[in-house]
Amino acid sequence: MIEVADLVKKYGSTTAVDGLSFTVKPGRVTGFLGPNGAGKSTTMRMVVGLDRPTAGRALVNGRPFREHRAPLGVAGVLLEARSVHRGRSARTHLLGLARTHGLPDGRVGEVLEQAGIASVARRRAGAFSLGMGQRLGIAAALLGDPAVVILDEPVNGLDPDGVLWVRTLIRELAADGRTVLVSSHLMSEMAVTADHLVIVGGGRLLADTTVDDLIARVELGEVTVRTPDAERLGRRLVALGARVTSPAEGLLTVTGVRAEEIGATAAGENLVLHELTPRRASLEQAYMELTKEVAA
Amino acid sequence: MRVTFPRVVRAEWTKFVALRSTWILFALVAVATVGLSYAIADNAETPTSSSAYLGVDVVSLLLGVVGIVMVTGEYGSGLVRATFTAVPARLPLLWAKAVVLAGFALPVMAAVVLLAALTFRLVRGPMPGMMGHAAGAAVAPVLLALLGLGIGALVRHTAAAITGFILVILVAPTLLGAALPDDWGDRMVKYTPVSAAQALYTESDSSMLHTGPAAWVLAGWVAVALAAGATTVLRRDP
Repeated sequence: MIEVADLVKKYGSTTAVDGLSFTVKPGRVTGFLGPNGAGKSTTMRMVVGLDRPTAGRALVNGRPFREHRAPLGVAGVLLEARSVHRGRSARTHLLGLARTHGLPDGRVGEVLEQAGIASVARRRAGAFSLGMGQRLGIAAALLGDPAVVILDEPVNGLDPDGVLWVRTLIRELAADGRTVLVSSHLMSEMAVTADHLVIVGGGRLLADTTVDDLIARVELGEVTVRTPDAERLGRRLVALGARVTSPAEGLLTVTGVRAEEIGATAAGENLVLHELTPRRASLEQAYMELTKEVAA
Repeated sequence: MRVTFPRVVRAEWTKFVALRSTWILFALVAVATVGLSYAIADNAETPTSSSAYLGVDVVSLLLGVVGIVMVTGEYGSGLVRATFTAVPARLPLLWAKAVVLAGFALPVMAAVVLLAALTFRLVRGPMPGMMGHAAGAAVAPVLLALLGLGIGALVRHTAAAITGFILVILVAPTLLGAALPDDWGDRMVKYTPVSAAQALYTESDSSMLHTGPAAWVLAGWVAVALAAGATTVLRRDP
């Protein structure tokens, strides 16, 4: 569980995070979404005690992260910026973290295996590709078998295999009952992995919602109707104040009245309907709509 | 599974000995110290009891750099973010680095200094008073390495920290001597880190502190640098 309350971070005169409050619950994947520069990384760094908040607080499993006695077992973190010394091997890098907690050396072998980099474990991390570095970062996040997993842009630089691996891993971690917070600036990525969305823009909270609710929030107000009596129904609907176009024979696109009214009208006129579909926004459209308001 | 200080020390030891630069720098230290001892034994007209340790002046700089990059290497590579999430209290990391640095450098310096003394004796014959300075010659560079560690933690950037360290070690004493009126310069210079360090392994004269006070003065500088470094490590966002 991550609880963020009224979090503020200022760098001089610029405000990176501006009064952010949200909760990340265990057992599901929470997508942390926003355009670049929205304050996602800064928020994540404050959650794990790397950056000191200007105001507000962030709790991990009920306490400020710094107060935990076994931090690696509480939260595992992958930060967007590389956090590995280029002169050490993947294995020594992980040993240097594991030994602070008295974790057995065997645990390092396990996460190396899990991340698919066991074969390059003794190579200097400086020679790693972006994707291998990303896998090493994820291995480090999993080291302490943490209850909370925080991943900042985890699919960055990964090949398609890697992307698939991360998606599966994220879902498994949540299914285990862990708290999973994953950031991305790509809605499409979140659409396939996240159950819940925390959307930020300009350091402020724009939405704290489920994927379905977010789509429903953006009303396109367009209804597709298929009927053999397109002309009659069209006239009736125009009389009701709707705007009606007919993109094809027997097909109507209606705006200005709701699907329920269209159905009732058709029933009143004894007209047959083959289809009556309110058009839904795509997740991508809903996200664009939401972040557009902030940019304006 | 939880963080304890001995575990942090063990982790820092693992990291320290895994770096190639550690071994290269210490090899340089050994070669430079013993080599200079040999050259001086072979060539000096009037050697003194501290001639065998002249190389220690030079390698103290190298050890200072070892101390500096122990911290700045973490900030520069970004590793510090991973390290701080494993040990969010942060200060145990700095103390553990100090323990590892001293624990590694002290035995190495003891061996190097003994080897330098032995070389000198083999080439030039016995030199009265030489062994009396051996302990100081081994300890002084280790204290300067810890001074470097503190400066590294304070400054956090490799190049800037090395510049700062060299200013403190080499330039400050000369400037003091020239900039202060009357004999004030001379009186102050003996309290600078490098002069106090040298006093630990050279025949004392009026321009230097005695060994005891010198050790305290140098330890004081180390304490100040580490305290200043600890403050930045704790306060600044990495």
